[in-house]
Amino acid sequence: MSQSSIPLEKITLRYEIIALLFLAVAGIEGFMMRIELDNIPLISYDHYFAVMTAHPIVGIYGWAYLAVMGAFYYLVPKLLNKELYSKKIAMIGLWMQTAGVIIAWSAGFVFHYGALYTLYWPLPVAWDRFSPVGALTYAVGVALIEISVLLFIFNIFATIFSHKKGSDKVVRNFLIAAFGIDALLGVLSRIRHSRRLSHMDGGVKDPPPPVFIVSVMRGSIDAVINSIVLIVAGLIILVYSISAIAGTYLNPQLIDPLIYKNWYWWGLDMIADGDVLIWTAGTLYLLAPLLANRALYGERVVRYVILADLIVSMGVWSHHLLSDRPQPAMLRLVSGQFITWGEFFTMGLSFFTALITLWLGRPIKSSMSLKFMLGAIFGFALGGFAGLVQANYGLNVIIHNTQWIAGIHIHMMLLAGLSSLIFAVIYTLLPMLTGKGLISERLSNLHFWLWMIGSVGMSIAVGLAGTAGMLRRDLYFGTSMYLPYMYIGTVFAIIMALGYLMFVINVIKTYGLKTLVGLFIPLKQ
Amino acid sequence: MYIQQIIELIYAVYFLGVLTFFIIFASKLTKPPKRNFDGGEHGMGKEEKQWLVVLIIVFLVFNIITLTYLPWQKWLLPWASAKPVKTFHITMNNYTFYLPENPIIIKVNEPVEFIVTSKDVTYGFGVFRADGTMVFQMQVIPWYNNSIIWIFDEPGNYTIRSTEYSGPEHPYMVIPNAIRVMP
Repeated sequence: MSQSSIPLEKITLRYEIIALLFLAVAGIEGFMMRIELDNIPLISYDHYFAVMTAHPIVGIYGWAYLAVMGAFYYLVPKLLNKELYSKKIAMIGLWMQTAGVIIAWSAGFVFHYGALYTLYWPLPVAWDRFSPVGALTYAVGVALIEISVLLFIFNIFATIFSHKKGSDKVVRNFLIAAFGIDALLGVLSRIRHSRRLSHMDGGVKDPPPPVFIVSVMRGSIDAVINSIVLIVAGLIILVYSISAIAGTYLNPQLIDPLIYKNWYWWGLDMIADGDVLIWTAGTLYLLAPLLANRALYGERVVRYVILADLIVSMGVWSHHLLSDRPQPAMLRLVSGQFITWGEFFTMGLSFFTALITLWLGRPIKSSMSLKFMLGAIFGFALGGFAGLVQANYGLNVIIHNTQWIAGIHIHMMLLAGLSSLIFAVIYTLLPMLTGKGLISERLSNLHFWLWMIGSVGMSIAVGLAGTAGMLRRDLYFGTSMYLPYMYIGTVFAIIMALGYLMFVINVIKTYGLKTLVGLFIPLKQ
Repeated sequence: MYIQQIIELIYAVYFLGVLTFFIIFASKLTKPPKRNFDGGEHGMGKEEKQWLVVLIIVFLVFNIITLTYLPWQKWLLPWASAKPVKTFHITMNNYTFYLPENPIIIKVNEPVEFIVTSKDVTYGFGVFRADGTMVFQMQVIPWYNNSIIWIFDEPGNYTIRSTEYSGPEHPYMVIPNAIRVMP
């Protein structure tokens, strides 16, 4: 079968299955670290930090990104009633990203490269601590991943921009919507004519694109910036590592570590505070009306919220540098604290929109999509507030780099929040993609409850170790001070893993292992 | 009560509040409404405006409290000033702290300044109580003077630990009882 004749459903299913496999790998890595933190020596400590370096790459780019890409590849053309611009690019992207994640992962597992995802300069090229071959491997892996992300964005934009005869304004309107120009024109119109928000057309006379599509496009802008920044970081490491392998050691002081850190976090935050939140909001705007069987509440306001999110994501990076004293204090206060609160407003309004849309659609049929969607908002609400505690000029002094941020913020956001939302989408998509939903309601419910209890419980247990003083990115040899938190965290992690297992069993029971393998390898009947 | 314990308490209340809301919300979602309202079709509805007011109040309360209540804001905020009585220069290199004296002796309630420099990679400079809770920390950016003023309000022995990962030997970057605060 040629790439272009592959059904879109099959492409999406391939993405989702590989994403789920990477989630399992990230989970195994998580357990390896949990066991080490329980003071049970399983791996050497340099290997521990190498696992810690690989873990977010596998979790973010292997699981979350692939799952989201697969879903968007199906949803964007369907919602626009168009063909995907290139199925070939979609498949190349899938294999490229899979290869990139495996290569970046092997940098840690094989070469024990442990500069962490933060890559604080000049640690990635500190050759007394890591091998140049490990750095080179890591840089190649990350480069492949980011090129794949750029291919995805290109494919999505090309799909949206492609137009039929008689609709020559499509490109113009989508560009206007993607960059929020419609919303800006609306604000200007309101100022000039004192017109009510409800009567603004924003200068775009054609029907505006669905808010989900607008979210995908605006989140994509952040994803592109993030990719470019990471590719440049990878290139710098590449140059330094190739030189070192060739026997020439370049001076790390050629790059200023503080400027590098600002630039790197500005780009990296485009994921955490940019496209994750914008794409999340967009997905909620899609799911809520679908589940409530009614129009989205306050759709006009939502378009402004998405625009605000795009602007906020550009200015929040300094909350990662609140403890960097050479960073100008006013920049830390304004960008690190006040602008970060912009996310409180944008996400607060997004959750409100989703929840009130459901409320107005009562009675709503209970479904796994609904449960996971509510679970996701619950997770984001818990993790988001913890992030605001950290992104505070005063509180950061006693919280920065503790387990609070790793547990109660990051893992709460990614596992209870983002992953639950991805599961909500998967439960919605599966019947559309395959013609039948998962057969066991009992297993689906077990999946939901075990996942939620496990992810929330683990995040809180680990996070509270942070307020007790335990650092993230550290090990405590011969100290039992934080062990109770770690033991409880491990118990909840096992509960969460059982939830994932219930889902996998349900998928295999429904479709059969042979069918799932057959999505990738043609099998004889 | 340490600030960390207050954070835990506030978070516990917040957690219970959010959990209660979701339990009630989810339980009512599948039942037909006794009465319903309409809104949101023409811009920001009344309910959304009320919600926005709630968000603004939370924003103001949280930020005003953390800008004024936390003791160290008196000397750490951009517009604050505190003149240190003593300055301690600490160097970090190759996973090692080089202290001017061990232990560093400080008087309680006396402003002191720590200037920490790294000669190789990024480290962290964190001070911890005997029970493991953090007193304060800062990042140590290499080749920069990283400076922080602190006033210790409790006598006792304090541990110094690097709070930023710097390579595989990072967990060993700890000096117990490196600071002694005298009454």
